[in-house]
Amino acid sequence: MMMREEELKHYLVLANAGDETAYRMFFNALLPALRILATAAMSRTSLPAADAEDIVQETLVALHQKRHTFDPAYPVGPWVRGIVRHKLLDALRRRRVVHVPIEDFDDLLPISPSETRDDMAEVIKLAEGLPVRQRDAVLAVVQGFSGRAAAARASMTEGAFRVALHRGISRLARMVEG
Amino acid sequence: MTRDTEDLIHQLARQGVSSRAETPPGLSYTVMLGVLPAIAIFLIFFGFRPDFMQSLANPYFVLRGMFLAALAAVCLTLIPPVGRPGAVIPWHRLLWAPSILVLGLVAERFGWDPAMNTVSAPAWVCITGIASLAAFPILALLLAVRRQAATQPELAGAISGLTGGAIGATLYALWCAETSPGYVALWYGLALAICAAAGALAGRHLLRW
Repeated sequence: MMMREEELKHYLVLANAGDETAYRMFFNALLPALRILATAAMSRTSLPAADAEDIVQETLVALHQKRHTFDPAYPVGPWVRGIVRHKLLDALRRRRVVHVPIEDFDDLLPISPSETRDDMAEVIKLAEGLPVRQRDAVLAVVQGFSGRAAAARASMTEGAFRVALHRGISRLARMVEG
Repeated sequence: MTRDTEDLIHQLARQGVSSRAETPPGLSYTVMLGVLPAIAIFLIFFGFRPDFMQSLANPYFVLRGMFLAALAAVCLTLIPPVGRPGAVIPWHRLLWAPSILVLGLVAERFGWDPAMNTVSAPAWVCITGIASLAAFPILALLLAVRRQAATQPELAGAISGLTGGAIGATLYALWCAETSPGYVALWYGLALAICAAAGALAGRHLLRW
């Protein structure tokens, strides 16, 4: 969930210079956090969990279309967060969510300025510290499953899955902050 | 669905190579694009005052021009951050423009005598004049911000409108004879507010992404 500012910036600068591999690395570094963010947003606004992956894809396309607005003179974290938040709010608005608790989403895409934490591996490692059901729920989402498929993967009913995921994410957020 | 997203990432990465990130034209290009038609409109419909050279002896005339030009310059520096996601917009810079007015008040204390002008044209001429001179600069700025990524479309539109309005008002002030501070504050202020509001309205639709 945490990723390094320099690393991400490095990928994006190379990507904007035409490096396909770096560009894929950039997206893949962001993907787990985007999925957790979108899934959390869906569960908090009681929208179908299956929409989460759509929102992730919309956000990836937006990052792609606006990649020229990234200026390497500035940090990449606020830039990514600005776009992700914009697309998320946009997606929720289009799904007629009137009250959008923005502040809830603000910290869900942490990009640390200097700490040497790794993205995917770090989420998985952190998730290992969660109670079993919460861990299974979080990992299912990180792997890109949503809705019934994610619940099935974690061997839970959808209701139980939602509760476990919500608790897992809250606990992860506290672990990351602490 | 996992497959989909991976495919999408591959596809975007490939596209990123075949078509490089477009670098939009710079701000100076945008300003030229908007200001040149505005200058043409100014020369055709308004033109410099016949007594322009004498007007330069009127401190209020000079001060008004400086204030409007400073406002336009300050607003222009806000355009790039407005279109860059995650940027902190340096609002405090807007305070620089009124500081010119303070300078004028100080100068007045030291013996500058404001020459009072007769009203040369009704106030609606001021509003429509500024609006017509601001139209092209506002349009050019909106189109430039559209190629960026404004996360607050209305706000970005309002800033574009205010900037274009200040450019238009700077030109208009080369023609307008009414230099009393009260008149300028009221009618120029109203014209700038209209430009900003129009920009915000346009921004709501034009600057969405």
